[in-house]
Amino acid sequence: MSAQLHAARLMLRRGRGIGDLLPILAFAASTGVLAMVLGGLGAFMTRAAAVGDGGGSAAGASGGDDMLAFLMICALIATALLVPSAMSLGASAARLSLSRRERQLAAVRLVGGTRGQVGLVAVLDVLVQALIGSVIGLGLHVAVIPLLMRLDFAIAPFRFGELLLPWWGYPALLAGAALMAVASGAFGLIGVSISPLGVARQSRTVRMSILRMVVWVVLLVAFIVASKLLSYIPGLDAAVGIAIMLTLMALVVWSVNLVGPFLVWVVARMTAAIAPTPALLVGARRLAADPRAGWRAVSGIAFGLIIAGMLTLISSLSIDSGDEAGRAMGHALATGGYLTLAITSVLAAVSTGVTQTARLLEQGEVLRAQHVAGATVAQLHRARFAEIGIPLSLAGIVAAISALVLILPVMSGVGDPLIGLALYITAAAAALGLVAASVAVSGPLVGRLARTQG
Amino acid sequence: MSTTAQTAPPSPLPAEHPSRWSSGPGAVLETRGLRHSYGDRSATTLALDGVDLAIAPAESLAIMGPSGCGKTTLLHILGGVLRPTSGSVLHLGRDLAGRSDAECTRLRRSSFGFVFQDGQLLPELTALENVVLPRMLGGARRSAATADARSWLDRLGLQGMHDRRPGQLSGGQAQRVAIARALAGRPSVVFADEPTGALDQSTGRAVLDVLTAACHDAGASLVMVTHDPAIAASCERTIAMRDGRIAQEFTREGSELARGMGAVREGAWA
Repeated sequence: MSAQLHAARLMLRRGRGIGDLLPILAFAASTGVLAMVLGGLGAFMTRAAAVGDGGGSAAGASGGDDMLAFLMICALIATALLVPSAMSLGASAARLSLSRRERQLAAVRLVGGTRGQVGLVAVLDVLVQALIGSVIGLGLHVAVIPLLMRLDFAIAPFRFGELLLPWWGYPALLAGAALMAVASGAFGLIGVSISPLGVARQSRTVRMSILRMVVWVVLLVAFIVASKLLSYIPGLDAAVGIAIMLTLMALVVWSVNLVGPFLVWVVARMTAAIAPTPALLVGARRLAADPRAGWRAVSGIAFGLIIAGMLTLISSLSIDSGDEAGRAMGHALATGGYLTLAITSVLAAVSTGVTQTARLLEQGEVLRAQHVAGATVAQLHRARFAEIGIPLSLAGIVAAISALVLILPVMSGVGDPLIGLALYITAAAAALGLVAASVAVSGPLVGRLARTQG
Repeated sequence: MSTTAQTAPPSPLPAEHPSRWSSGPGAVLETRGLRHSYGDRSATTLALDGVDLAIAPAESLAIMGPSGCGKTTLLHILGGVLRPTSGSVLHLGRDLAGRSDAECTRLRRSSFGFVFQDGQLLPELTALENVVLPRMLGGARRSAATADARSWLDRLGLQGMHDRRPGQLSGGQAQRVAIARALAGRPSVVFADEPTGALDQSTGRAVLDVLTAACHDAGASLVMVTHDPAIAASCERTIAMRDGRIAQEFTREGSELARGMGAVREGAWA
C-alpha cells in the first residue's frame, strides 16, 4: 500500500459520531435479522424433514404433517421477502458510510490520492464497518434465540440448537455481508465525483412511466381471476394450480416495488404544485426529485405489512373456523404474521433512520444556509417528516390493497375477518409509528448541522 | 465604547478611533465595541477586537481583508447568525443581544437577505420555488409570494427560467436566483459572502452589477464580504480589516476615510 493510502487511512480513522455508529448499527441489524430469519427457516425445514422421516413427535401434539408443511411455506415466503429488505438495509448502510466520509475523501484527493485510491479507501472503510456491524449482529442473533424459543407456533417449542445456523452459515453470512458492502460501496461511488474541491453528485430529472402502475394493476387482476377460475379448469393438477397461484402471489408482492416509486413521484409532484406550507413544498419536491430513494425508505415496511396482513387475516379466519386444528393453525399464522411485522418494522425503522441521516449529512450545507436565511429548526424538521410521511402513507395504502387481494381466495371461507383486521390495523399503525419515530431520532442532527458555523 | 453621531461630511480620524465617523442615529445596523473569540479558555482565538461600525439605509459596504481577519465573523454577527462575545449590534436601534434565538431567526427571515458564495439554492426546488420559499417560511400565502417571486426573477433577467431547477441553470443564473431570493422578502439589509467567488470574472461582474443595482432599487443596504478590491470598488464604502479590527476605510472613489490601528498597505489583503 502506498504512502498516500497510509495517509488516507489515517485521515479516515479520525472522528466518531452518529455518522460512524449508524452504519455499524445498520449492518448489525441487517446481518442479525438475516441470521435470525434463515435460522428460523432452517428450524422449520428441519422439523418438516423430521416429520417426513417418521419423527412425527417433533410436530407436537396438535400439529400434523400438513400444518407443518404449510407453516414451512409461510416461513419460506416470509424469508424470501425479508432477505431483500435486510440486504437493502445493508446497501443503505454502505451509502451512509460513504456520505459521512465525503469531506475527508476530498481531502485525500487534495493530498495527492488518485480517484482509484480514494475509491479503494472508501470501499475498504465500508468493508470494515460491515464486518464490525455483522459480528455484532450475529451476537444479537444468538442473544435473541431464547425469546424466539418462547413463540407459540402450535408445535413443540423450538430448541436453542434448532434456531442456530449450521456452523458454516456464520462465516458464509459474514462473507456475504462483506461482499454486499463492497458491492454497494462501489455502486454508491458511481455518479459521485470526488475531486480535491469536494464531492459532487450527478443529478438528473426523474421521470416515471405509468407502465409501472399498469403492471401492478394487471397482476392484481390476474391473481383475482386466477383464484376464481383455476378450480374450474378441468384436469388441472392441484400442484400446478398452487404453483401458478404462488407465482402470481410473488409477482404481486414484487410489483409493489414497481408501483411504489411511481405513486411517490405522482403524489409528490401533485403535492408540490399546491403545497400550502413550506415544509410540504420542500418535502414533496425532494421526493419528486428522487422517488426511488423515497420509496426505498419504506419498501421494507410495505413488504412487512403485506405479509403480516395476509397472515393475520387468514389466521382470524382459521381461529374462527370452529375446529381445533384450524384454531391451532390460526394461532401459528398470527404469531408468524406479527413476528414478520415486528422484524420488518425494526428493519424499516433502522433503514429510515440510516437513510435520513445519510440525506441530512449530504444536505448539511443547504440546511445551514436555510437556517441562516431564516428557516427555523422546527421548519426544517417538518420538511423531513413530510418527506417520509408521503411514502409511508402510500406504503400503507398499497400494502393494504395488495394484502386484501392476496387473501381473496380464502375470504369466502368461514369466519369473521374484522377482528383480525382490527388487530392488523393496530399493529400496522404501531409499525408505521416506529418508522416515523426513527425520523425523529435523527432530529438533533438537523439542529446541529443547521447551527454549525461554516 | 461610546459612539458619536456624525452628520457632517466624514473626515479622517486619529488612528486610535477607527471608523467612529460612521456611527449615526439613522443607521440600519450599528456595532459598538464588538469583540468575538472562538475556542475555550485553554486556546482562544480573537476574531474581532473592538469593532465600531454603522451602516446607513441603502448604503453598500464592502468588508475586505486577508483570511482570518474576522470579516466573515463580522458578517455573521451583523446578520444575527452568531452572538458576539461582548459589545452590541443594533438593528434599527434595538440590540440583537436581547433577542432569543427564535427572534433572531425571525429577524433574518423578515429583515435580512443572504447571498452565499455558491448560491445554496435547494437543488430539488425550481428557481421560482426557491424564491417563494423564504416568504412562505415567513407566513406569506403561496399565491402572493409566487406573484412577487415571478416579478423579482423577471427583473433580474430570468424570464422563461422560473421552472428550471438549479442544476439546469448556469452559475450566474443560479446566483441571480439567489439574489432574487434575498430581495423578495424586502429586507432592510442584504448580506453577501463572496457572492461572485464561484463565478468567472465576466459573469461575476455581471452578477455584482445586478446585486448592487437591485439592492439600490429596493432601498436595501448591502454588506458584502470579499477579498477582491475590484469587487469591493462596486460598493460605496469599503472597510479593510486586519487582526479583528477595522484598519482602514475608503470611499468608492478611493479617498481614505479613516486609518486605524494596524492599518494595512493598499493591496496587502488582495
